[in-house]
Amino acid sequence: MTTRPLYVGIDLGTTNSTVAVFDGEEVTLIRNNQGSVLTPSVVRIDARGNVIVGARARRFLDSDPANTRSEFKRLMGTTHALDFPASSTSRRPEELSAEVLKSLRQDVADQLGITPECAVVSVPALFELHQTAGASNAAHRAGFERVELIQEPVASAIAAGWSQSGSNGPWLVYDLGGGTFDVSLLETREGLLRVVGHDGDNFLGGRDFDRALMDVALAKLAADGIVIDRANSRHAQALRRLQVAAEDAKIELTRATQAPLFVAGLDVGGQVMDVDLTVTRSEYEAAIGPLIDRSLAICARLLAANGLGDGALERVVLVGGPTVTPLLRGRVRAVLGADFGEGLDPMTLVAQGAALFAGTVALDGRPVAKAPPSTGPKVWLQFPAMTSDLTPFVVGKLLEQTNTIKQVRIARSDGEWQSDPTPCEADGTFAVMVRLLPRQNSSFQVQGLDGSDSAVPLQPASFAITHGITLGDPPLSRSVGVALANNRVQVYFNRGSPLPIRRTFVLHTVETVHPGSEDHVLKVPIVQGEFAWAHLCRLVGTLEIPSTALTAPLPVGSEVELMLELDRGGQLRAQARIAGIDQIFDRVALLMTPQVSLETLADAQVKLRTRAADLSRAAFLDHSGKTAARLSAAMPRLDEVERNIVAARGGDLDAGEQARRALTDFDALLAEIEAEQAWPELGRKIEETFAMAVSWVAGYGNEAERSTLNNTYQACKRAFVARDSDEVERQLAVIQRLGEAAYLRHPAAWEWEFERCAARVGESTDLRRATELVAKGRDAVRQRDGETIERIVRELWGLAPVDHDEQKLGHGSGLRMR
Amino acid sequence: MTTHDPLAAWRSNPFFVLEVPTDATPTEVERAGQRLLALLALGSAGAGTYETPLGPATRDADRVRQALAALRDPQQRVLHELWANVAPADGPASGHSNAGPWEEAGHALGWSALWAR
Amino acid sequence: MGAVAGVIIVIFIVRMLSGSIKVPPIALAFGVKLAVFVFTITMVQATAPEVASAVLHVVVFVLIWVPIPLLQWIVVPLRMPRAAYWTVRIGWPLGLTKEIEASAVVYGALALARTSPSEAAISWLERKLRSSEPMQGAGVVAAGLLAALRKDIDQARGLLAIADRMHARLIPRSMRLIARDWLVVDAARVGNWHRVIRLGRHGMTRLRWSYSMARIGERLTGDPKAWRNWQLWPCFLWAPRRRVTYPLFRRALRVPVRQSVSPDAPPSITGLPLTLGGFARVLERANAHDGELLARSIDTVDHDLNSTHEMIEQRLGVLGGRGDAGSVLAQFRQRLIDLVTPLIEDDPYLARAAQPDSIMEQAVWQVRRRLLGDIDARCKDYRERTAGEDSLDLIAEWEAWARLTTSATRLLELDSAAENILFQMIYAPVCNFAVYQHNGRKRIALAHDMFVWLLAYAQGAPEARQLLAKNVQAGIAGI
Repeated sequence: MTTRPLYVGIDLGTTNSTVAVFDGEEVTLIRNNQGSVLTPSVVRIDARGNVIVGARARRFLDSDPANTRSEFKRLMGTTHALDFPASSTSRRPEELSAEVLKSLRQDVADQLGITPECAVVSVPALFELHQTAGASNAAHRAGFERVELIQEPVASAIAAGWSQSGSNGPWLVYDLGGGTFDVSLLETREGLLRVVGHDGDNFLGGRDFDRALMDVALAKLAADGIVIDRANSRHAQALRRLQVAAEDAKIELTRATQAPLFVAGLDVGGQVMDVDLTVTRSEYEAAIGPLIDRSLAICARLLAANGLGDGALERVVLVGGPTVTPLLRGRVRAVLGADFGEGLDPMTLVAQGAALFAGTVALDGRPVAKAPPSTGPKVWLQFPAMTSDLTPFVVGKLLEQTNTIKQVRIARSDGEWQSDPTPCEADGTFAVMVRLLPRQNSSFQVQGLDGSDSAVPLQPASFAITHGITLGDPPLSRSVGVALANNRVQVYFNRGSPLPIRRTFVLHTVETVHPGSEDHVLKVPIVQGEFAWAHLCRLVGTLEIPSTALTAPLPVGSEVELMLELDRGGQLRAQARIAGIDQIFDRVALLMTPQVSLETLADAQVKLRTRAADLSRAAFLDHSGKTAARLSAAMPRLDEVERNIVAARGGDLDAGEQARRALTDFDALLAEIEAEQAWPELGRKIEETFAMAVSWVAGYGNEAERSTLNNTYQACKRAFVARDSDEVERQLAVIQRLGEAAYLRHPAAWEWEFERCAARVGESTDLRRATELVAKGRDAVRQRDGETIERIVRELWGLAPVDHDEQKLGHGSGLRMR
Repeated sequence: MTTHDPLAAWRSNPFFVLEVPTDATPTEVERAGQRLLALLALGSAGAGTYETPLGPATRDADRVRQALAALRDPQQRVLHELWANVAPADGPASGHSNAGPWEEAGHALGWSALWAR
Repeated sequence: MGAVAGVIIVIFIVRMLSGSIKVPPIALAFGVKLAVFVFTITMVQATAPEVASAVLHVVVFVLIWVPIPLLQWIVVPLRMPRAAYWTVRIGWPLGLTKEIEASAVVYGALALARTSPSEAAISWLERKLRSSEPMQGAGVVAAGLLAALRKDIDQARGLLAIADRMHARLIPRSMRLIARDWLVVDAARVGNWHRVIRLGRHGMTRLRWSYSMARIGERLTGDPKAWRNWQLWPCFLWAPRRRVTYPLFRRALRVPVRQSVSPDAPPSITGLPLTLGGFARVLERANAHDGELLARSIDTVDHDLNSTHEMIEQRLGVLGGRGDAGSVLAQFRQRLIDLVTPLIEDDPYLARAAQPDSIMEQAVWQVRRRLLGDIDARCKDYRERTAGEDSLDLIAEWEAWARLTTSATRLLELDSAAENILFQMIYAPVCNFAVYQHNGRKRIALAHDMFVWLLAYAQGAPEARQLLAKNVQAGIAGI
């Protein structure tokens, strides 16, 4: 077994996990010590502190739920610590995933005799940076030295593409797992696999099907007078037992038209009873119908975003346990209008694809063997472990005997092909084009030629290349950037960029920072998301530059050279260099997301509802039917958030996360609508301000001011058309100032101003002084003393309350673009 | 007035970086990219620089990868094809060739360190 | 008699040291030098033999009365910054007495200007500058040269431009000379002859070398108003640095003077690859400083793009893409704008030839927007710091002011019609800040420069002009 490479791929699922290995020729699924290829992602810690993983732990899910945890995948990257009271310990979701991965690693060792050092772990495509970092950390914790991550749809696509015959065209991977839904649009062209786009829902999965069935069951029980309340923590255990029964019923319903749901001795808040229900397939299908429709809407959105109409797809590949549901298969085929890929096992496709991907990037899990005694001069070879190209290049460099060996020859092991002798460069490098056998693994020997008749064997003497598909670098699924002080985002990595990736931009500070001031920190917030407004994007980390670290004051506008780097393992690195001071900062804090309290969520929900109601009203008054329709279509989302908050109060952490996510999305929708409405409003403001200014400047302004006003107005209109709100505001301020300057030249202007200030004297910051001034002012008015009136008004202006309009929306960023 | 090079971005056109013609097939593009990545990994001296119709430039593994990714997307590829089809310079440029820079100015006055980069 | 004179002198010195008599530094320097000179000459005459005495006479004379040439020709080329610094401090040149410490730093920086300077030397000079009092024109020149040594050319340019236009009372002539010469070399070394021409001024602030370089520049760019050979020769001979400037001068002599500005014949090449090639050449050569040529080559590319629509659609079909030709063309045009934008930012005069709605004009708009944003942010900082009475050290304040004026100058070079808008934006924050610096921190020179600069752009605001003129007068009185 040591002669064949060991490429390990792991599907870390919400409900079940799988591990597969690829040896260059075929993919094998590894069985655990229960004999199954699927290991439930359940971890139990008993009173003695023993950690139990898998099917054995799952058995305790309903009898000892406090110490048995499942479905922690979606919580990775958060700081939620899950308690295990029996052993008085608590674990983060990352640590629980590490236990599962450790168990899978051991399974490989048991079956193949080698403990793998490296593996590829799959993550959902729409995982955010802190979640992928969590997955990567979990794998390292499990003992893997090198870890690379691959998105689940890409893994499925590789596995599907590997086994199907070469076809060209777009196809779809529909991945409905236990907790997440991912849909990916891919394209194969001449064996080159390309990811065109991703979409999905991080909170839609088979679990929601279970909940839907649960709701049916609970409704039936309620009709019989038995009320089980999700928010009531005393009913929690009953709910769990019902859930397990519901899952079994669900599986039954894929084959039968009805299934029993039987739980003996169910304890409902003190009352013990037997539950014996029957659920029919049509009831179940009615319950899950909307969920399936939701997934299909996301598919349609993805296709539309990439310009594909109905029937444009070549194929649809189904991945994930819940896709065996007959209703789902029927609806998907009907709506998307494409055939399914045949012969593909939806439960293990992801793991197979991950193993194949490990092959593509040559992530060999075998422990690094001691070098055998030299049998020839060493050569360093670079070649693709897998490629769709039948004539790829093999590049190498002679590390020894570069003087004697002038040429190199490569021969295929089956003797049917051999390259011409290829000369080496002065530094010993050579590049040879080899010919592969189609759709299989070809092995080659490499030999050096020193001018004599015999060939010199090199070390290593042979290598192998598999002909299959060529996969590009895995793409980034969500844009990553830096939040700026004006709440915009400076995008560093666009969605779809190949990983690994590194980019540097020069940003500028927005305020002067003095060294040594304890509380003053220059913040560089790193965000992820597609929104233009930074506060709607998810904060994934902050690079902090404490003022205590500065050696000299940092004036406004100082250059900060900021580099961000993201690798395939999902790890983000950031580095800031301040040119004038020549210091480097690279501590990125806060990659975990803080826990958001339920009270905050509930508050936010109420506020959003009010905002939405206001917008709806405004939309009706403005007769903008489209906006009103959008708002009313989105309102059910808020109802769902309420339900999730209720569930979260009952201990369902997952529902809490879901609520938080939904609130952010809703906030983004409202912000978009508000921006759309605000724009015409701004246009009106421009016209009004200009009209006012023109009337004053015409009467009391000079020629230069008139022409400036016109120029500024033109610039303002142009910025308005270009939707550049910063520029519009700036020009508007100038127009206002011009108008005011001209207005104040009117003989009675200062008196009018004085009256206005006198009327608002109650708001001033120094009431006594203000009242004094008002009294003096009245005298001056009587005496018609213009200069004194002006002086008094200016002082009164100084005493007016300051309007602090600073919204720290940009995550407190201290930077701007040029 | 800085030593900013206006053509640097143009020289990193993916077709230039990968040294393939604009009518190369996707397989040929991938093959060239894979070969370059291998040479760069081996530290081959010649692989780090390349010629373009606009003068020589340097590349690293990151740039090669970005180039491969850019050419896989059809819309991006067409855009890069337009930019890569540049007729090489020949013939005298119109304009004031006398008004070229006086490069030795700093050195002549003994102030060369004031514009060092 | 001698005794009476001695007593008077002693009383004078005592009262001066106690501060009750104020003597202008230059008079003090003159007096001290005269005393030292007389003393030393007497000693030399008394002790040294004939020949040596004559030599020593000369040496002492030079050291005491004209140390600057000694500095320029001997100490500075030795590349010893500390020696240069102390030579100035001890030598106490009469022209630099007001700002002796800062001037010493200037010569120290010049000593470092020949080879790559060490970090330690630059830091030492910076420390000396920070502790020097007062800091006016010479201090700004010193800060500028130190910035250049630190490779921050933009900052250096901003500071030295301030020094170049400072009021005569605030900066010694020799320091202004250094600043202007630096600016001329900075423009000439990249071939920006238009800026060299603008620097070589006529009138009271004319300096010989920059003036002659400007005339040479006019010839090199083929300006029809350029001087003929017989006029250029005396100009060249009268200016310093003849040996160094000679190759350039010969180059200029070879350029014929044109009768009028005739636009170059439009390129007769068509087809996108060829126009792109032409565009690339324009970008690359020093000819890029000719804005009209640049604008024309971009417009030709833009024009040729229109005929590629079908070809793009075909290509997209072949490659299997579902994008549309329109968006490819839009992206192409955006890249054109992005290629040109940095050029315009560096030298805004290039953009004068931009036609409305052309690619160049959109690039101009992008640059203008950035500059306005930068100016806005800096004004906001001034506003906040005035309100919070937060002041940086003087060098940092000069640097901040230099950055604001650089952005403002670029904006005005880009679009002279923006003068009034610019004034409206910066008048209040800068004027208030200047008042704060003048009254609160006694930084007369800084405040004065701010008022003068604002006054120059206050054409359209009569009340502001009045107020500023008053402040300028108050500043001069305080110098």
